[in-house]
This record gives sequence, C-alpha cells and structure tokens, in this order.
Amino acid sequence: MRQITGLLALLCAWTGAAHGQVAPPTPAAADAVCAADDPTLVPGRLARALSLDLRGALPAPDEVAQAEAAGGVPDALLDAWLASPAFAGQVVRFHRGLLWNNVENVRLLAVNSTLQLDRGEGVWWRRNPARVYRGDDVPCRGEPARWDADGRLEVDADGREGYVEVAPYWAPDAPLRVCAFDAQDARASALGTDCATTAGSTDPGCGCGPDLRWCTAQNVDREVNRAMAAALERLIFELVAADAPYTELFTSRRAWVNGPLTYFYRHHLGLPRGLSLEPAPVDVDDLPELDWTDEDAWTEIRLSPAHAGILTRPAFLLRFQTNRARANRFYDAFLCQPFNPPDGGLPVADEAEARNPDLQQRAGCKYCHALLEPAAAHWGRWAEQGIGYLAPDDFPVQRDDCTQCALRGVGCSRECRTFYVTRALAPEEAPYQGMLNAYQFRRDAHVRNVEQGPRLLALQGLADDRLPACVTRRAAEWLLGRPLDQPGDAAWLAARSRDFVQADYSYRALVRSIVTDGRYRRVR
Amino acid sequence: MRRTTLCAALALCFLACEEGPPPAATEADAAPSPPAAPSSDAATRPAPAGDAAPPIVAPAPDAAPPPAPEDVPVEVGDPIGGALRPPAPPVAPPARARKRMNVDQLNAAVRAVSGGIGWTEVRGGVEIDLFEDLSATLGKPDYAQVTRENLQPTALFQKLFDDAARSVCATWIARDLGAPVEPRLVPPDDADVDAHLRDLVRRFHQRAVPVGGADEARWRWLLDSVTFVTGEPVAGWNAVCVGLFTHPDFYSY
Repeated sequence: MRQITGLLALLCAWTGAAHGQVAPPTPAAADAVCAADDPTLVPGRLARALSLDLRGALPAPDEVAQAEAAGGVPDALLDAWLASPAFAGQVVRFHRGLLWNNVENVRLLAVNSTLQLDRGEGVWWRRNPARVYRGDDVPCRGEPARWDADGRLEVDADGREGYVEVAPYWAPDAPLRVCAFDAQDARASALGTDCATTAGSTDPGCGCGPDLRWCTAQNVDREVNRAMAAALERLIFELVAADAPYTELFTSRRAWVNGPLTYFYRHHLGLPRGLSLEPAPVDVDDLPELDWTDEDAWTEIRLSPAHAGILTRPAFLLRFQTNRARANRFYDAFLCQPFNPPDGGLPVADEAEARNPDLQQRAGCKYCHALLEPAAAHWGRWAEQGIGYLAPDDFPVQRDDCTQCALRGVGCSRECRTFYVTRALAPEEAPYQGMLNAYQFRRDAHVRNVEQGPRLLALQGLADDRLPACVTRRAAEWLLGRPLDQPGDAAWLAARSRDFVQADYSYRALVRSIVTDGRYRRVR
Repeated sequence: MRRTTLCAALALCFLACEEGPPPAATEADAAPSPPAAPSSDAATRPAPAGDAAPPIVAPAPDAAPPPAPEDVPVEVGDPIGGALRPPAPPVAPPARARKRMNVDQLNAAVRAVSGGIGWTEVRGGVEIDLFEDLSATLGKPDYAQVTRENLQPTALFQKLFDDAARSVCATWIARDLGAPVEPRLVPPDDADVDAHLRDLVRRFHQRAVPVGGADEARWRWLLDSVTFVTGEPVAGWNAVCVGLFTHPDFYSY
C-alpha cells in the first residue's frame, strides 16, 4: 500500500512539474457572497442606458466620466443628447413600430410597363405589348432597327423589328438595346391614345416614351417605394429635430421629395398596377426639377390644405390601403384604442340582421363599426388602394354621370366605378347611388369627417385628451420597457401627459420628463 | 488541472487508508467465549419460567449519569398584535424593466467598444455586415410581415451573439498582435494586468471596478485560469473579451 502511495506521489509531482505552475486560487469565500440587489443604476450605467435610448449608441468615455463626477447625467449633457440628430433618429425608429413603415412589397407600376431582357437576342422588350406589336409574345431581332423612306419601322416576315439604343432615365450613362416598338417615344398614338397611361400598352403606336420614362426594368421602380417610406420618416425627423409640436405630425403640410419620387409623380401616376394613383396628391407643376438619379437630393415642398401630416402621406396610404385600416392604425397607435371584439364574443345575428349592409347597425359588427365607420370616413376623399385625392370640385358628393350610370346599370366610367356608389346590392343601398363611397350610410353628424379629413380626427383626439395621453403612454412604454399597468403608473402617466400638453406638445420635453424620473434609473 | 485533481484525490484516498498502525488484537477479537454462568445476584437472576417480566439489566458501574435538561424560557403572547396575516412587505418603488439592446444598438456598441471592428464576413469578395444580414433572426421587424420587435434574450439570440463576440474578439486580437491601435484588448507586455482588466470592464460595461475587489478578482481569475489551461495568454484575453461581450451588462441596460 505504501509503495502504491509513493508511486502516486511521484506521478502527481511529475504532472505538476510538466505544467510548471499551480492552478490559481479561487476568490476568498467572503468575496463570493453576492452584493445586495440595488436596482438603482450607478452613474456610468445610467449614462449608458440614456445614451442607448436617446442616441442608439454607447456614451463616450468622457461622457461617462462626466456622469460619474456629477452622480448622474448632467442636465446640459442630457439636453445636448435630446437636441442631437441621433435622438431624432431614435424617435423615427420608434415611430416605425407605430406606423409599420414599409411599402416595398407594393408594386406601383403596371405589369405592361416592365421591360425584360431577352438573353438570346440581347435586347430589352415587353412581353404583353409584344402581341400587339409582333402578333406574338416574342422579342425583336437582335440587330439595329431600320426605317423605310416613309419613316415606318421595317419588320421581317415574322413581324419583328430591330432594336435601338436608348439611355434609360434610371441610368443615363448606360444605354440599353431596346426593341424599337417598345422604344417609341410619342406622347400620343395616331389613334389618340395617351401613351403615358395603361391604355398605351394595347396601342401599337405607343411605347415606353422618351428615356423609357413610362417603363421600368430590374425593379428600379422600388426606389420609389423606398423614397415614399423615407419621405414619411423625414417629416418625423424634421419635426423632432426642430422640437416642433408633436401635433404637427398630423397637421403638417410640409413634405420632402427626391429624384425618384419627383419622377414618379411626373411620369408614372397614369401607369398604376391596380392602384388609384390619380388624381395626383401633389401639385405636379410645383415639383422641383430633379432627375431620377437625384436620390439624395431631398427638397422640401408644400402640400395642399387637404393634407394631414403623416396620415395622408403615400407611405401611410399604401401601407393601410382601406379607410378602415387607416382609422384602425390611428386609433391603435395614437389613441391607444384598438378595435377588439368583446370578451364574450360577438352575438349571433339573425338572418335579416346579418344582411344589413350598414355595419354600424348590423348585430355584432356594430360593436366596433359604430365607431370605426365614422372614423374611416375621415379618409373619405382619399382613394382606397391608392394615394389619389378626390378634390370636392372634381368629385362632389353626388355626380350626375355616376347617378345616371348607376340607375341604368351600364356605362359607368372608371371614376364612377372606383369612387362612387354605382350598384345597390340591397334596398338600403339604393338611396346612395351616385354618391361618393364615403357617404354611404353616412350620418349627418359625420359628414364633416369626410370633408375635413384626417386632420379633424387628430384634432378631436387632442381636444378630448386621448391623443396626448396615448402619446405619453407609448413613449413611456418605449423608454421603461414595460406596460404601464403597475400601481401608481396611472397617476404618474396622467401627470406626464399634463406636462406634455403644457410644454406645447414638445416630444423632447416628454422624453426628458420620463428619463429623469426615478423610475428610469431603477431597473429590475 | 483535471489530472492534478485526480492525482490529489487518489493520493488522499490512499493516505486515509494508511492512517495509524493497524489496531492491535483485543480480547473481542479472540475466539468467542462460552455464555457466562448464571449469577447469584438477584438483580441479574433471570425470571423463572412462566413469568413475562423482562430481565432487569443494571447499568455499568462506571457510566456517567445523563445531564439534567436545561430550562428553556417560553413567553406567552402575540408579538404582532393578534393579526392572523403577517405584515405586508414593503412596496418597492416603481422601476423600469431591464431591456435588451436592439440589433442597431448592438452593432453600434460592438464597433464602439472594439474600435471599429464589426461582425462581418466576406462573401464573393463583398464584406457583409452580419448584424444587418441576420437582423430578422435577431428580432428586427420588417414591418411588412413582422411588426413587433423581439427584444428577448432568446437562446437563438445568445447563440448568434456568442458567434459575433467570438468573431470580433478574434479579429481584435489579430489586430493587437499585428498592428496594434487603441483600444487594445491584449495589453503590452509591461502593462498592469489588473488595471487593464478594470479599463476593459469600464469600456464594455461603463462600470467602475474597485481596485482589488471581488469583481476584479473574478475577471482576473477568468484570465488566469484560461491562460493556465491553454498555456496561451492570448487565449485568456480572448476569453475575457468574449465574456465581456456576452455578459448581460453589455447587451442589456
């Protein structure tokens, strides 16, 4: 036994000698006891939290030192952070979550406006109009186009022409070989068709226009979608950076456009893919002279009085394409009143009640729609599935041509079919034939909702204090990272909301009042 | 470390078996003795057959008497005034919830701490920012299909952020060993290790670490133990770097 022990000792000594050092000691037992839980952040950690929330970045070492020296973040430093562009950027980021600002999945331009590359012939062409040009969906020949003495485009036995070189508007320095029929640049065809509309895709005398302005390729039109979202966020950024009243988010007529957005308004409104892009929501003649390639040249413009801040921007209108969806988002995001069914579910309507076309009265539906329908009416003069604005001069409450076609049942124009009641599927709908869609089942008290627009909805929210209370709640939930449902939260929120109103709806002041409260510094 | 511990354990085990000389043989170890002859003492006389009383066994003459019981004072009364329920716990002052950084904050924070090193990889000759590439997985909504930002430190987040930490730390160490610039992860050879550790904790977590305190000892222990196991000081600093990044004090606030 002793011999084995001795052998083990020799083995262990050799093992220790092979590494040359001894394992480090563990901390002393007394030091292993955890410190008492103190939820109050030390100054450095408080500076860290504030900088991350207000600027999205860590504080600089000298800023941490300032906080440690002062026992907290000094007022001057906090005010500097709140006045920084980074804070405005953080507010924009937060509002992205309220507005769901992404319209990249919306296809703006008609299918027939899209050029595609035929790799065999090496030419760009459009498939559907090809049947009009060449009798079949085939591209042109991969050789330069020729014209006869009369200026007519020469075609071969198969009806195929050649190509021409065109510098597209999206890449003026990179000319493309485009089939000659597709590259026609006449504004109107010999038959009188406006080539800048979807009707041009079925007229052989129409093409993509000068610089291919009525067409797109390789998804370059997505730049317009991105520009729409960026323009909405720029409004929020500018208002916060200038410490303007938060209410201007819903009343401002300020807007920004860049090259792609300007080009879209000038040349693409007549080429929608199932959307109502017209009547134009902006004064096209007042737009700045920008090229498509001027992506970063953001220029401020002023919109008509019908506009209501973010609530009538293309990004908002295309993200929420029905008036009910627009009202629902506003109620949820800015009034904290989401439309939810009652806890016990909706009552089962009898057959007669289930056929009531007026949702404000239909059993079960009226639980929400008694409020939602008048709220949606605020967008009554804004096209659904589109961005068009229906000015009262061109779109009166009732139009004779729409009334006549509705009563006859035939011959309704696109405007009547899209914006007016032209069919009565139930007896209750008959009195509204020929009237603007927004006026169907509209109570007299709610007519002003249609005529004054979303601006009125926001102002009503201000008058009854729902909007400032909800804005305060949303900001507090963002900064405190939890719902405000603990004892004492309601009274605290009410006090912050009063301060917000008294500070002339300064969002900067609201955030300041929240982050300087003891609640923010204590973390659990 | 394990080999050393095993050897020590085995040595201790054998030493325990070796304690003291083997005990000498006692009378109890001798051949068992025949039963004792009946005694004439009445106290030990067995009961006559047919009587159920058990035999009385007298205590050993030299056994100590048991100690007398101690008096324990008992008070009668209700210290809380007769209430059936205990007093309510003190109400904690309202606080906010600890929040995880979002993807954009994480990206900026990692670059700020490391002096510009991001979590990237090269694909087809193009450097891809992986925080942006994996933003959806890390909880960033696109507001088309996902409208709510997930800021929970889920297992998937922990895994991906661990990958990010290891990537950034490896790049940082390579920079320190090749062309070091401030901030440095691996200190110069003549640097005060403890002071450098305190600086790192301050840089990563914006916390002042007391000199010689438990916090400093823990980070030093991590550095030293990894260095000891691997034999590579650089591995120790890599462990400290990854530990600082993946600590909740970095990615939450």
